[in-house]
Amino acid sequence: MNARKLSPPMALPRQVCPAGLLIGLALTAAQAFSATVVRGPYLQTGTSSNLVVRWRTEVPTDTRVRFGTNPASLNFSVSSALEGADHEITLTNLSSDTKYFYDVGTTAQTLAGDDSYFFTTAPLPGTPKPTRIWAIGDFGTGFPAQYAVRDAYANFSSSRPTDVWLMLGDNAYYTGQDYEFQAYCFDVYPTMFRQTVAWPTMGNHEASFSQALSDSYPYYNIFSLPSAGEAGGVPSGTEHYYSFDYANIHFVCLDSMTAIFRQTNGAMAQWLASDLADTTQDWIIAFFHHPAYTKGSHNSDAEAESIEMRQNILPILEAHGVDLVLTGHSHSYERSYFLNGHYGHSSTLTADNLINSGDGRTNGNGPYVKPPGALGANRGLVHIVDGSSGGQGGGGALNHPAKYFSTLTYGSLILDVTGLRLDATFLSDSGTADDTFTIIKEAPPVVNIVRSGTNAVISWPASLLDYQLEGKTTLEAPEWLPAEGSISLLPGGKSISIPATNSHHFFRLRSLP
Amino acid sequence: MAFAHGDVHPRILEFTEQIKRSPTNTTLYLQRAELYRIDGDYTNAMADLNHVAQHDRSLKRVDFLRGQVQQDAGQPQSALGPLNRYLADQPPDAEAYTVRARVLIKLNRPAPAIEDFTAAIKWSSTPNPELFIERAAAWRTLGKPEEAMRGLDEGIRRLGPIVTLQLPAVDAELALKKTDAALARIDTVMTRLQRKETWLVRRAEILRNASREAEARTNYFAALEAINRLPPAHRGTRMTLELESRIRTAISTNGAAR
Repeated sequence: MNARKLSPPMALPRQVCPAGLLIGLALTAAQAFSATVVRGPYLQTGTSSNLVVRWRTEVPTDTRVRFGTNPASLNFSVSSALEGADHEITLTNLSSDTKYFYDVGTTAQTLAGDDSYFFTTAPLPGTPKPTRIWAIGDFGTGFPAQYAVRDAYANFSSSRPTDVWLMLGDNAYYTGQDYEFQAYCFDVYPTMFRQTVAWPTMGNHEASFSQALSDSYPYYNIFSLPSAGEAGGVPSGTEHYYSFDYANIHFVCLDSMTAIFRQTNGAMAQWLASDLADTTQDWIIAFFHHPAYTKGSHNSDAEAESIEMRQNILPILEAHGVDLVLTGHSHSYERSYFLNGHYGHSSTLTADNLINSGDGRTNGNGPYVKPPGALGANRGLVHIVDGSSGGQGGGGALNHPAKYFSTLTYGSLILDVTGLRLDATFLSDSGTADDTFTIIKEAPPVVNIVRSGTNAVISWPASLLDYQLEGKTTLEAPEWLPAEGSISLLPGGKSISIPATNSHHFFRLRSLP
Repeated sequence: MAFAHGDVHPRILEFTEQIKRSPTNTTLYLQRAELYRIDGDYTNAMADLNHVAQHDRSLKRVDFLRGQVQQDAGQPQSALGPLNRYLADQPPDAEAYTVRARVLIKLNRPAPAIEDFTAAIKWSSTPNPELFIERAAAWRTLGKPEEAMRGLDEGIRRLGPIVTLQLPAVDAELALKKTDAALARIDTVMTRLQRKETWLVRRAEILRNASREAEARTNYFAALEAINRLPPAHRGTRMTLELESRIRTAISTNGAAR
């Protein structure tokens, strides 16, 4: 178990503490305030075995987390004698896919904890598990609609806990100050924060609009993000961009705000290519703040952040088979067709970029389907602007030709991943499902081999792909060669008949580009 | 080509309104200056900063911001003065050292830039990998790849063997003709990764360049096998298809005959 203290000697929300009082309060804090939790607890960098628990107390205290699988008996404990107001403690050696209850406090007393203080560890990486993801963008406003969006999701998901919570940037208006995070982020979602690991990305407001590389924003003190590959993926060495695994999904968080990271040969691009080249997960979801395609309150044809992400970073995402790109920035919901290879001005989009120009709906034109194997560049992905979770006024023409569906309605995005199927729902602040789509990944075909007289008949099912049967007589042989024989078309697939000899023969199906 | 910066304009207008209501509040001028800088309006940014400097001489940060504005305006020589004043007066400030280091790079003065990058690294609680990468590039500009490598290794010690530091370190080793050291770095990266094919190809290419053809081919074939073991969805990405094509071309070529 690890414990780390980050706090300055005193860390009171600025809203309740005028700057001129800070020194006096610091000197008399222990006498003036009782030890109460004023932020969190909140969960960070959750994996199948580890979890970071953070919270803030009104006065500096030492630190303790008690936890266990039975709420009536929290039989494990981690503590630290270091005193501070911002507390961070890492729970280790947890069991995967297991519900734990916990409380937080000092070594002398519990400050917060009841039956609603629980978390469920991630399943082992690569293990498919029905996964619910909640993604919100541009939400940290404190406007009534932020609460309405939150409550609509709480109603929608009341019987289904959230597994992964993505924050798509502009998490605390107006400039991401600590007191703004308190008022517009932590105070709005206390239950979510204590039960679900939050995975944020940096927006322009957290950076006070600056595109210079800086680690000094409050965002980086508030969140504990996996820069060392603690949650799966390739270590990035920075909290600006990172990745993590949950079940059979690989998530990649990028920093679209810092200018040097958007360059083709920048460190982020280099890390991204390495990270994506290392995953074997069924699904890859990337998230960052500035959309490649938007005609909402921002225009992706005119703003450098969007243009550079589209031109420099998107080709890397596509080349590695990313399935979904989630962004915010525009205060709208804009969902694309199944796209590939569009890196220019919106006027240059062609039909060739639309891998599937349907609605992606099971009750419409049918889901978007990604076949296994080698479709090469033409696999397709969906881009979503999900920036209406805070009730900001939107605007814009909402007419980007890459988008199938666009709306200014306030809401949030829900993703349900079950095995090789992903269902997406845009849930409005009034609780209506205003957009849905589905992506299905075809499983690889199963090859059947049966004897027929002196021949072996090898068959495989029909697919979106064309397959070639290849064989070799020893597995050590370097090359697979096309199987000889004529292919028969069957009602549900194809077959080939070859002489059955006494020697071994190995076969594989190879999808053709 | 200049691009718009989203929310900046309305925010500038908001600050202008606030300044009208509180004309003696220098903090508002500082905040508006920063927005002008981000928007590329360097004239107005400097005007606001000069206003602050005239009315509140205790705000030393004005010099740091002036330096940033001049740097962004493409005037690195003019940026140096205010940054020097700021850094001479203030406790160590990693961000300011970083800005001045970049100014010095633009002025083609890599030696003092290296000192500033080193100071920025020293005073950062968690230095960003970029600082080590930019410092290594400055060392290479000075024709000192050994120093570049030592600097990258310092980053690796602090941040772990991350690829963004190991890759330039591999290049630095190769520049020094240290093939085995370069291969060892790749091996260090590979041990932490699930998928080896990209790195096996890099190994093969290094070996082939070192005229170690048999080892190169062994690595190319190992990379092919690694690709064959991938799940179909990953075997079929554009990236993997291109890599496989590159391997097959390389295998069909006799490297020794090149």
